[in-house]
Amino acid sequence: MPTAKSPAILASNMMKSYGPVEAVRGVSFSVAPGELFGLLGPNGSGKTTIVRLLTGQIRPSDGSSRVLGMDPAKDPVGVRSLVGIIPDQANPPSFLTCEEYLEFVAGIRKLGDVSGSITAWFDFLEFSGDRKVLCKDLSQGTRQKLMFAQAFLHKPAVAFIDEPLINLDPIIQEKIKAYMKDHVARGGTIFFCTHALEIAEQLCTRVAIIEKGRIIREGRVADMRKRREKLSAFFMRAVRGR
Amino acid sequence: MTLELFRAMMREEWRIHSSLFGSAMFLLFPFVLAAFSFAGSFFLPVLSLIVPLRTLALLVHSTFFLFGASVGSFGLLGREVLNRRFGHASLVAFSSRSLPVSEREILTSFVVKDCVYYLALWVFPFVLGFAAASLAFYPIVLHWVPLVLLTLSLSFLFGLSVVFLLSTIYVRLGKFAAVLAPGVIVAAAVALRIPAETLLPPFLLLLGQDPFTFVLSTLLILVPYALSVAFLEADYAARERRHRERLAGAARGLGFARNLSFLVAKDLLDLYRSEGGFGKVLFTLLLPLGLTSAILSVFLKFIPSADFLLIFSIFLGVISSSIYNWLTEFDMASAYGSTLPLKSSDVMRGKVFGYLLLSPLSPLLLLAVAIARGSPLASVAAALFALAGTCAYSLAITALLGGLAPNILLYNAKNFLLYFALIAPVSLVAFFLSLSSAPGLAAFCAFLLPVSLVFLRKAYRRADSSEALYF
Repeated sequence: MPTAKSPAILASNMMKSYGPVEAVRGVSFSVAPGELFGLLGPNGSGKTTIVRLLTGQIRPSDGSSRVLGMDPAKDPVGVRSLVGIIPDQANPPSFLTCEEYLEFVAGIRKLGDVSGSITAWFDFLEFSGDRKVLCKDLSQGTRQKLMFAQAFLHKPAVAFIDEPLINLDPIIQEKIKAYMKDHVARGGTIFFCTHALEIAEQLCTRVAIIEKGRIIREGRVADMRKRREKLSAFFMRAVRGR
Repeated sequence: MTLELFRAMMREEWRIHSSLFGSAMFLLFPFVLAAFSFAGSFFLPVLSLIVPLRTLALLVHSTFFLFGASVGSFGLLGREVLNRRFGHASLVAFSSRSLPVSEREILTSFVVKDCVYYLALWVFPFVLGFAAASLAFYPIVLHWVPLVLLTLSLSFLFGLSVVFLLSTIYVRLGKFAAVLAPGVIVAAAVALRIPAETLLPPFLLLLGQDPFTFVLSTLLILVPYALSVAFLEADYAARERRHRERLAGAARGLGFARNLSFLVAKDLLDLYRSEGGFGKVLFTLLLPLGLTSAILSVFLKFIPSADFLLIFSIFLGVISSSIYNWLTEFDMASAYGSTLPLKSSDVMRGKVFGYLLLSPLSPLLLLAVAIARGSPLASVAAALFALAGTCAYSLAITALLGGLAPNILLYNAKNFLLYFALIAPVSLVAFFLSLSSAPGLAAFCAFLLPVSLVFLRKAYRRADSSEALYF
């Protein structure tokens, strides 16, 4: 486990190749506890691959990483037992109901009786009416709500979230933003991939811009505000040199 | 139908398959099929001494009819399957809302694409193998090749067309009507004592070669298709299904599965709640067993010393791995790995455990056959041993080669050949032992149990070392 000062997430020269394709090319960064770190980049820049590397879904071709002091390549199950993940493509099991899916997650994570917590999530994200509906029959937005609930059901110290607000209505978006801010305010860490620069500007404490598998720029959002620079301008300057 | 639409669908179909199975391995599959057909055709004169040629031909035509039906089913249910595999699938066939073409035009292109693509993938290679063997060894039957090509193609297209019509009935009139319609036809055929082969006119065309049967076969393809297009309802409201909570209770009941209890409970609910429920597991066991029993009954008349029950138990053991295939049909390991603290091997262990829970189906079937045939107790005991060994072995090989997606890996030529190379010799040894020594067969099959365990452990290790979950 990390000490108070050690980073929650640390990547050191992390690389990932698929045959001749280099998806991630020597990425290094660290995220401190209590940070809401945004990884921003164009389509296909390597954001999702980095999340998969950090959560032990795939192994790096070179370099290493640590999440809460553990190496995801060596102990992927250990890492995933401590973190929460919302993948880019949310696909809960087709033939479980929403309620059963959350019970399934609780059962796999050995959380004991979480019925109260499950009800609280249904109420908070306003989808109690879908509690008994099979996951395969859910709308994209409801699937997104369900995936958000499963990621935070065990109150993880670190959460990896790939585009959490897509398909959600503005009311739920605001609730989720507030929840994420509160989570980091209480010492939690969120690693957040998105294209939505306005949302990243509202939420993130720090951002990194990735392009073609390399981090090309990093910066604190507070510093940008001091410079009266918009995140979109920061992003465009990094990616397009403008 | 626009040519562009057809080309796009053909390209899409190829890319789906090549991304799932690998371009080279998928490209090899028709050649493997042709090789098997060549080998089968070479032994046809010997086989025909045991099983009448007419029965063999009916079996092959029925298989192509069923294959056409399964291709049609996948075409209609493909989006759900592909969504599970790729996350979000967007097929040209489902893009009537975004393309300036009508749904009828899309369905027509889709049907023509399926016909061309699958005739090239399955029917042509099969007939090519038959033609090559005829040319090399039996030039006397060479003139049958064009006719076999025609009747097998018609059998395939008949299966495809029937499923399209049934799906239209399902959408328009509901599930009950879709089940009732073929049920009434089969019941009428049984009541009127119409031979089964009459229900498959392309097979009658092979036997009779008369213009009337050709016209009838063609009409049986065109009319269901025309009705499907005429009554097409592409934009029907999807039914939202609600269920009361069962998972936690089921997992508690499966407490003896320890840390696998939630995985096993989920797999069983998947089976129960998906179309066909648990019945489809029984059906996929009974259908091939029915065909096998029919062939065995004829075959064993020529080998009086053979014990039907022993040979039946070997077939049943090999076929029983279809239970495992069903358990892997509803999810992907990556769906767990991307969010939960699970290894692929944990998921696989859960499915093997589910298989063990459902596997009593096989000995029950065996006992039913034993009772029906009045088999002696010693024979039943040896058959149960044979069943246990072959069940375990075929499960282990399926898990090793197919991992958590055995149905998908069928089209991978390398896996297909490896499966055959690992299953066929063991089945043959068991078969010959069943002819000579029942205790010898029981001992051999008991030996298969530890061998299966070794293969199963290898399957677990292989699943954990693979990143191929992310296509």
